[in-house]
Amino acid sequence: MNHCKTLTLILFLSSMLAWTANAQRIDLNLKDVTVKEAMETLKNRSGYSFVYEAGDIDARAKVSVKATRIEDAISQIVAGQNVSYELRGKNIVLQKTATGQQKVKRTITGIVKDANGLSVIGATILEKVNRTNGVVTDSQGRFTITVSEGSPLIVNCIGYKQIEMNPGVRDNLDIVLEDDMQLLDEVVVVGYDTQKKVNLTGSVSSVSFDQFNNRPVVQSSTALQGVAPGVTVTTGGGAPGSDSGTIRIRGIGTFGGSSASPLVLIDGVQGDLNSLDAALIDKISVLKDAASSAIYGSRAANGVILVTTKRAEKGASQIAYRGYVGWQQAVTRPDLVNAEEYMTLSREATEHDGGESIYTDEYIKNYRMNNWLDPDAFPITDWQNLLMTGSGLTHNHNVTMSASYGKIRTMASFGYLSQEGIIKSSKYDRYNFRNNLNVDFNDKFRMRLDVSAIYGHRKINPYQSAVFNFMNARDPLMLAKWSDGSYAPFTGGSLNILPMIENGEGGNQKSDVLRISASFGLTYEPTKWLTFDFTYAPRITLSSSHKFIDLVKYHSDPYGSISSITNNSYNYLSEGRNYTVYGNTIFTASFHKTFAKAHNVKLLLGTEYDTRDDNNVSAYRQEFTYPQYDVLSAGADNEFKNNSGTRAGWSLLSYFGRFNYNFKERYLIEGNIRFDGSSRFAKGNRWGIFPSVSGAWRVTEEPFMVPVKNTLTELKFRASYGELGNQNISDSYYPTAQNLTISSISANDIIYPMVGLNVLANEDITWETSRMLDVGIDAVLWNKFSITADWYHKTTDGILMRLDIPSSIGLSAPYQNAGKVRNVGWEVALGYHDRKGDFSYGVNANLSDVRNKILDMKGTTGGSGVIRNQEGSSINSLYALKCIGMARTQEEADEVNNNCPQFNQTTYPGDLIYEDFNKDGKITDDDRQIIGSMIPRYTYGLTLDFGWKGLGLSAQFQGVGKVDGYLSGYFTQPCVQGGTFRKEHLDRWTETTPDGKFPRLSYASELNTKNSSYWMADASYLRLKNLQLSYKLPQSWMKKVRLSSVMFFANATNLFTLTGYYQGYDPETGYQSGTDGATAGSVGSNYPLVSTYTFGVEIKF
Amino acid sequence: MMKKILLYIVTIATALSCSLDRFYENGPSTGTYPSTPDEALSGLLACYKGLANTQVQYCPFPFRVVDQLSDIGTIRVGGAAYESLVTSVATPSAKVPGTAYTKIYRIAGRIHLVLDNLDNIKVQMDPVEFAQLKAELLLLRAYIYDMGCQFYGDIPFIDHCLSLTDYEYGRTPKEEVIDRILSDIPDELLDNLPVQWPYAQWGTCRIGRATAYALKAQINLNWGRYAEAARCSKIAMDLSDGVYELDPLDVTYYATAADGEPSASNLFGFAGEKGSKEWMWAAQYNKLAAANIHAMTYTYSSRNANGASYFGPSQSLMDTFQCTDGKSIVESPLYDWSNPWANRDPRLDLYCLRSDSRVMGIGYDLNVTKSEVMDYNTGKMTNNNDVNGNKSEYGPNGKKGPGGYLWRKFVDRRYYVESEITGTKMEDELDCCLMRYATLLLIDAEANIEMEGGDLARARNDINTVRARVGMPGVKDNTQAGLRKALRYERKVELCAEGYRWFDIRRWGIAAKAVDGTVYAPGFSTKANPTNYISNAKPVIDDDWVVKYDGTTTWNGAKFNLRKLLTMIYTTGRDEVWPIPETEMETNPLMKQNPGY
Repeated sequence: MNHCKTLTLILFLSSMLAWTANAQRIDLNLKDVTVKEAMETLKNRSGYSFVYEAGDIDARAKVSVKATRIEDAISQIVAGQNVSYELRGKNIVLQKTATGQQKVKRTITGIVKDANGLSVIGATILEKVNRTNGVVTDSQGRFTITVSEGSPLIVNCIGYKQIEMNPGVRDNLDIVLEDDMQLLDEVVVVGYDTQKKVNLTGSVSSVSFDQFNNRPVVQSSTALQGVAPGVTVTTGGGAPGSDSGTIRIRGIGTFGGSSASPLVLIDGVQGDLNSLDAALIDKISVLKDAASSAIYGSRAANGVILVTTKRAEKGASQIAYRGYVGWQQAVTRPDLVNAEEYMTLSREATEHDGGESIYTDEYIKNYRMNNWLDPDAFPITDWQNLLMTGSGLTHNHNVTMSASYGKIRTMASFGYLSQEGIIKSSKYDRYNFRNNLNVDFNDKFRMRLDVSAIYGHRKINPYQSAVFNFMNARDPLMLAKWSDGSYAPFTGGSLNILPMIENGEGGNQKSDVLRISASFGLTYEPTKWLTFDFTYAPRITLSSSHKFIDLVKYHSDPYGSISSITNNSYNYLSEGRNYTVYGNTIFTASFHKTFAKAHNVKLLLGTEYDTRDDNNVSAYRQEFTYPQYDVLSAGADNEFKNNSGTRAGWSLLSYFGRFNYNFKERYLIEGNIRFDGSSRFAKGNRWGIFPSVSGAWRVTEEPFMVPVKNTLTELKFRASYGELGNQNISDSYYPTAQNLTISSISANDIIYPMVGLNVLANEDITWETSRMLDVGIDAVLWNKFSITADWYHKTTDGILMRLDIPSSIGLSAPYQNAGKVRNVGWEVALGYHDRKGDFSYGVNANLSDVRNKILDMKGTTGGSGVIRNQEGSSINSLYALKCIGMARTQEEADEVNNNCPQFNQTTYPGDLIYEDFNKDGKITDDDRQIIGSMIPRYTYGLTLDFGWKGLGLSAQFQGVGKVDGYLSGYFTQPCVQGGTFRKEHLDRWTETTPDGKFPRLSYASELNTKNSSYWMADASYLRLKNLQLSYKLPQSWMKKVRLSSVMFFANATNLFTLTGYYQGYDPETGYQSGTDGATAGSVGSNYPLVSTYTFGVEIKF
Repeated sequence: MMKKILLYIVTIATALSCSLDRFYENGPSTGTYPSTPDEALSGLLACYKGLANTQVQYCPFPFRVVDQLSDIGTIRVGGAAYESLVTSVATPSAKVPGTAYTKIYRIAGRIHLVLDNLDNIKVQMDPVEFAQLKAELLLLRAYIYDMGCQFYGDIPFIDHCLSLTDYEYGRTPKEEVIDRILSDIPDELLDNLPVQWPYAQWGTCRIGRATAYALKAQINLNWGRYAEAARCSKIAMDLSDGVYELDPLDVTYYATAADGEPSASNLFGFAGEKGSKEWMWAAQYNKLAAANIHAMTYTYSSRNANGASYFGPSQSLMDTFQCTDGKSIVESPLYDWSNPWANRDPRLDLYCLRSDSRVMGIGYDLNVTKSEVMDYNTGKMTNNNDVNGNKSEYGPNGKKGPGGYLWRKFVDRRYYVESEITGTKMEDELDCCLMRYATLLLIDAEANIEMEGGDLARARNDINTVRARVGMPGVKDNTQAGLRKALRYERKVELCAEGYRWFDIRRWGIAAKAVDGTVYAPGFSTKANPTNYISNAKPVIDDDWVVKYDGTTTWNGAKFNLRKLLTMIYTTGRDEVWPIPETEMETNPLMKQNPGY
């Protein structure tokens, strides 16, 4: 936005300042004032005067008052004064209760009812001065309690607001409890606004901070795992700083070139969930259906995640420290064979191939002895233990200071995280600062200014991507180090990676990201029914990458000189800098009015302008004479030095509106519309309209439902339909145009520039559009048990695909809006919370399923390797041969060879048998078929909470009920690519053990390593994602140490996993269902997922 | 008040109505190109670069993979991408045909990008310069379409840039394609080219006039247009006078590795790339240019010399080489099966690698009892990885290796030296010669032998020139049949590993017999019989120099010691051409598949 336009806005907003009207509400927020001052303030604000006899109260006592209701204010002012009060007109009459009789016990009876006059069962009544004295209401809501004279009572029940009341002289009390917002009046964040949860017409999941409170959440995206139905989070690995989760809401709606990631908004501004310290998150709303997300139009097709950060509460000033320390270790790793087993298996394979193995019985028998005599010639190496030597130490500290004084509320926080890898020289450090400031100038005009800076520094071992592959593939007979401690060069054809990992040789790699964001907001309420809101939120991301590859020299023999064997011919450095500026300006106006006490109408209109500008520079030099100076200028100033730079950007302009109407909060309807224009499409295809409509019926608000209200607290039916867009198509900012590729060609060693076109341009592409129908039900039983269930049907159309085009066009295929995908699913969430005396417990469970089907791909197929996308199947299906058994005997093998020869090769006993899918009497690649799907189905989460006094135990389970995973090559197969064997391969076919699990070992035969269902694994799992034990020190101790609370907690993540997946690999990383271009078969080389064990403390001052 | 509010809203909405154009140009893009002659030249160079393929393993050109798909080459066992192409089971999804098809039209696309818009800059250009640019573009198109017709038969003749709304082109009859591409390059157009582009500036990158006529001759020859082929090859040879000539080769015989290393690197290695007078045109490779390396030497070389021993010559090619008296090994008294390398056409050792020899300074020995070989570069013994160690199963003596022999022709010692220093084995930048003077001589010879009333003496002279270079006695026969036989020997031997054999056996109609039956490889060396790799098999050699074995006959009467590597099958009516790739069939509604696929 240019300056002129900014000025227009400022002028406009300052003119609004002058526009005032009288306040009507009581909004007392006093801190440490005398009772007299408090009474004066209340009188000035409300007109209510206090009437009392001098001496009955101590007017100089200090009190703090924070209330919006007059009764609350009074009881807080006179708290501890031994007086009762009564409202008479505009007077508050104070009466001294009997004095000097505090120690006298008296018995009070009463009945507890809710706002509808129904009895509340199981409410707790506590004596305030002695909280160990308490009773619970009976089935009629009645109670009897004996208390010290003059002590107020605290009445508490789940689902209701806690109240405190002074019985005064009365012996019989009628207590009315108000519904607790937590369950029924809970407010959730929706697009550009908030909404009472009960009044939602769409499908929104709300997650509060408590649900991931003390988990060692490094990347905030992983906090969502297992807590909300329909939200799938998968983690691809545990590398420090890049262990974030991939979030998918209600399955995968798109594939190919487009992003399937949801839109993430942090306090209304688009951002990256992982750029936020989880400790700062207050609430997360997940907008799942089209009606809820349509207000975000072209960006909302994959769902929307709204994050609210914590802010200072009115009247509360607090300093809190929260920190933990712990360590990480790989969840699992493959069990590999030992040296003798390796030789035995290798010999068997060689002999099956008709060869002669050097591993004779004699050789194997003497190997350990020889190893002891000459370890250089007869090495035994445990690669996993040699390479995984990182400490995995992780610690996190967070200090939050919030203060509230008069019109100003501020909350500042500082956080530091340090995470070491399970291999050396792999580390992540993160510093984050955030300040959320609120200024309420007056009742009409408010300001917000949030500033945040996050600096993440990631140290990556340059060989990190190879090490996990390496350690699981090298056999124990490869030499790692000579007996003199120097590094041996080659192991099985490739260079020994150990010096790079163990000793940090071979260079270094770093990645730094600094994100600075600010959000400036003004809210103006000229009248009660009208609110204007303006937000300007620029963000800057600076990222830098550094990769220095240095020479590693090896010894070709022990006690000798360093040989000429190196990992590279020269050392080199490449540096990259990226500078991205985002602009985000939002203006909304909202009208809210109730007519005839029944018709609630709300209208929101708004406009938004988003921009992004990218600048990239990269530079390169090689041949560093002094490798300790890994800066560009230290490299050789020769013809190999190189640099490049690009820039790119896009903008999005939108207009949107929402209309809500409800009749007595009983019948609710909502309509949304958004009109989006994007620079990423050619003129003419730029603008898109995204409408939605939804409605709900709260049955329990019907008068005829009052009799059952005690049982059925809430029952709501919802239905919605809407259209959404996806503009994140292809990774290019200008998917409609194609740049010519500038490259170079050499002639007689002279380099000439060349220009060529590689990809066909397609100016016609535009948004992907999703249409979603959702029906749902929300119910609350007995005020304690909540149920939410949804069914949806979502179709994404115009999915951008690089449809195969004839090769004769001579160019690579461009993207076309061609694909169509359907997701049909359901999700259920259940919650139950209760308390019995000091014991409280809660259960949250969710389960969801989605069936994904590609409806249209214009007759083409996509994917690579075993991944297949084809019409009629789900995205990321597995496509391979179907294994129907193993030839256990020669007769069985002969039958195959005679009737259905496989790949023109002879099938031997111990070989796999494949299904002749196309019935042509032979097995070829044409017999491949869809054998499985990598889309997780039946994803579920279960959280159990138990509390007893200060102790808390929380267990979070999470899992997938049905999904397939695929790993091949030396990750799972014996005798391939020079890999070693895994322990489980010992259970293989041999002539003496024809019932072995694995096929016969052979280096030559390729029959058994074909991609087939034999190598596919069930990747469903149940995992104890998180187990936490916390202990909050008793409140009574706190006064002595002048702290307001202290809590200790111990936490373990990924503690155990039940799965039928391949031993040694994690089912969660095994399928990359989340990724847009899924991969299979090779993810075994990923950095393993880690278990984290932490201990922490939270101290509030 | 409502009016006031409305006014505010409108004001703000207007303020936010910002421009939606946000397009940064980072270089030339479609629509404006080419705007200058320099840009057009850059486009032409992109077409040349298209020939310098990096996918050595799967693309048949400019590399020599197709020789491995004929009777003269072998491939590491289990290379399904190749095996299916010689066992008559290839399907339309076969990798090599698919890669080649894409490559042909990719280069065509680059050609048309320039060609379609060339008239835009005509006014800016000198007419000769303009004609040269056009001639080179059309020559390149002729070169790739000629190859396309040989590989696939009828192919779509595309002559302009296609788009999403304009791509349905069916198959043009191959004769028509050939007519069109030849009529595109009339003599008048070619005569604008310089005989040779200035060498200091362009090396062997661009097609000069001599090369242009040689290519035109080659295309005519491929399609039996012998008279025109002979006319063009004569022009090419006349133009070559004083410009191109045969390079000398060192024909010293080195019986064992200890005696020395035979090498043709002065012609086929980096010295040839830089200074040979025989190279007329080559695909250019250079590590300094983007995506411009290949791994051919890696795939050719022995394990000891940092190679992967992926491809190699077959036993039947080894037995093709004549003895120094010009006779085949079955006829010549000079041949001794137990010492098979002595007294042979020197090209055996210059172009192929056999056991007891040396390559790039490293010993090459298939004898399993020799656990170490000499590294003559350092003077130290080093592990004999070709027969020992865990990768040796992929070596020439291993179960999965090629058949006992490797190519030496394009192997340059620089590869080993550099890979030893760098540890990277797959980065090679040796240019790939696409036309050399010896090839031109053999084109001229064949055209004259096959055309009616051809100049047989001229043909014999061509053949003898090539033979004389390596000290082989001249052909004395003056009959068409005799010269035809001599030519077939000469092309098989002289051009081996250069990627001509696949085409030659089809053009001569001998593919069915050449690509049929068992491919044999030398027996394994074992501890009991360490020199078992020396073949005792007595071949049958026919008039087309196709070498076969009956599986039993041996020189010494002992048991036939060759091992079966693979059984080749050639189905007549199918395997003359490759299948049209699957994606083309699926996406182009007018496309029809070749018979048998």
